[in-house]
Amino acid sequence: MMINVFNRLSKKWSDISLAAKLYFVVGMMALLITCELFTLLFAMNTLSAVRAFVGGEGLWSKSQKMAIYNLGKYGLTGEEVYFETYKSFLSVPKGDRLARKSMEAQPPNMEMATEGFAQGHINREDIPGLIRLFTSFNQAPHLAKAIQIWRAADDEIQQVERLGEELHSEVLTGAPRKEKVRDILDRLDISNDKLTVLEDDFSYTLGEGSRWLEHLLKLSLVFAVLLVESTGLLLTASVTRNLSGSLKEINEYAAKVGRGIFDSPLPVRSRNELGQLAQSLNKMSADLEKSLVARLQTEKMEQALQIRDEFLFLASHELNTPLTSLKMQLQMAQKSLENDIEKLPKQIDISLRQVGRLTNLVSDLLDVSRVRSGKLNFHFESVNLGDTIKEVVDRYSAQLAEVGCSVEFDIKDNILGFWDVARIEQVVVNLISNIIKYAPGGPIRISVDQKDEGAVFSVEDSGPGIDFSQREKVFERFERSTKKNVSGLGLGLFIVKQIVAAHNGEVKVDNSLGHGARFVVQLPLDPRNPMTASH
Amino acid sequence: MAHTLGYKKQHQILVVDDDADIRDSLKELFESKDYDVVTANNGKDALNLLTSIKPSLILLDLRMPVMDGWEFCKTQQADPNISNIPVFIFCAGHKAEARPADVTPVGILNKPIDISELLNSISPYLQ
Repeated sequence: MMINVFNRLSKKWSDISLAAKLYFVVGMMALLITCELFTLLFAMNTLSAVRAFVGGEGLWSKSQKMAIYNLGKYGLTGEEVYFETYKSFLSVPKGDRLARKSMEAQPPNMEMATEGFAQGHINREDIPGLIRLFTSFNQAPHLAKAIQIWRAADDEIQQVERLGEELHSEVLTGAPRKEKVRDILDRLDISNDKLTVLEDDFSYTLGEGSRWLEHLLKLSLVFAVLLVESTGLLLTASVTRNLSGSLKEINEYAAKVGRGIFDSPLPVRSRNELGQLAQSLNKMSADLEKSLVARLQTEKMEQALQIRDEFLFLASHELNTPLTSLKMQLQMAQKSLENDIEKLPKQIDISLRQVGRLTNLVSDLLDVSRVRSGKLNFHFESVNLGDTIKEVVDRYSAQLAEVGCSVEFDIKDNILGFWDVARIEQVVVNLISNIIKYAPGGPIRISVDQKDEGAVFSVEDSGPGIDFSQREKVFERFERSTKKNVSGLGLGLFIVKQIVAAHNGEVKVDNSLGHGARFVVQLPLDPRNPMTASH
Repeated sequence: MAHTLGYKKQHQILVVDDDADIRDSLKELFESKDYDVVTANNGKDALNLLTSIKPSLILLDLRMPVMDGWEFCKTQQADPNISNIPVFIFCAGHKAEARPADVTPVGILNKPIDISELLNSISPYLQ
């Protein structure tokens, strides 16, 4: 429950706008400092009122003593002037009593209290403070005790007043009795002694109270200062942590978008300016990603179109070459029919060879379109790999010899597996054709071996080899060696890869020690059984 | 074997093409018309041959390994000993095989071609 409330509050706080938060922090500080100043003002006023109280007590005591002294003299001399002086001194404690009674009345009478204190010779400026202290703190232990002592002293003053009246009457008889006067003066001494004790008590209690109050005010000032400082620090820390954390996150996000990484949107943590900024950034990066993707797609499409155009040009060139020979041979054969019939068999022979070349090109093109539509068909049967490869290479021995390539075999006999023999032959033909085109004039090494549950054969030439960066690319469609103007559609290795993959096998190329290219084909013995399929 | 007609000089044609079947077909055709034929399978081989022979005409393919047709033309036209030999381009291409500005063959023939058209085109240079 508490946690819930806290979470809701902290969410509300984070939603508040930055400007409002800053105003809030500054406002809170100003409020707390104002509170502190008021506390200080209150402390000063209160202490000043206590000082006035102490001062008032001094005047009270002095007047009381002077009144009793003059009353004593009046008793001894009977001179009326002493009685008048006594009365005038006694008016000070009486004024203070009037003030106290007015303040204790229900409702308190402040005007009377002011008059009373003025009669008690209290400075008029101090009176409001005194009244406030009395009315606000009369329940405070020290002040309550001091007021109690004051009441007792006032009672004693009334006793003194009664004695004064008694003495005055005695003197006014014209012949005061000595014993009576002595008796009154003795009782006056007793009252005076009592009052001295009460005055000391009052001073002491008020001193205690003022020290206690001073202590209290000091503590509350320290507390107020600590409250101001800690609240300010906490609020500032909370705002800046929130601000710098969010800014750091936004900065990192912007840097990421700058590097073209669009994996996850920036979390929107609040509804204030930072939250709005995060939302704008997310929208901006989403738009950017969209346009970037669109541009990449366009580029890809343009690239595909360019590859297609190049391929079409290449294909027409490749088809044109045998067509040129075919056309010339057929036209010459037409002439031979008229006058040179013995040339015909050779011309037909060459023509048929051109038709064969055209057939191969068309069949390569068909294979590629079949791969694309997933219709490349396979007929698996038992095949002797070594024999098949030897046969194909023998078929090409004349062409290989023509380009200066001798062939060295390293064939392990009787490696039998279930493969499509025509397609395996196609793989070998394509590899050999590549050697004739790209690596003429050096020895070739062909090896066939068995490894685990599969067969491995490799064809290694002594040509220029294959650039490391091109090792994957050579198996892509329409990809041809960078070597210029070599005939071919760029489909041979692509078809090789598709055939090997259809046998659950793998074909790789690397460079042999002699820097020629080395194609390695791995075939599982029975591609129909996934347990023996190599990967 | 070709034979010489009394008053007529026997002309020699240099055929430069990387396709053996085309080379053979052209050789057969030209020899049947009593021309002497020398073949090369790329531009570089052709330039080597031209140090020892002086054919009346060169029939040149463009797309060839080692040295292509246009490159051969540039070298040939820069060499005063052989620059006067007329060159016919015989190619399977179209617009993509653009001609460099500084090369001027006497004609461009497209594959596949009628043999009569081929013979008619080159005959003015073989009088």
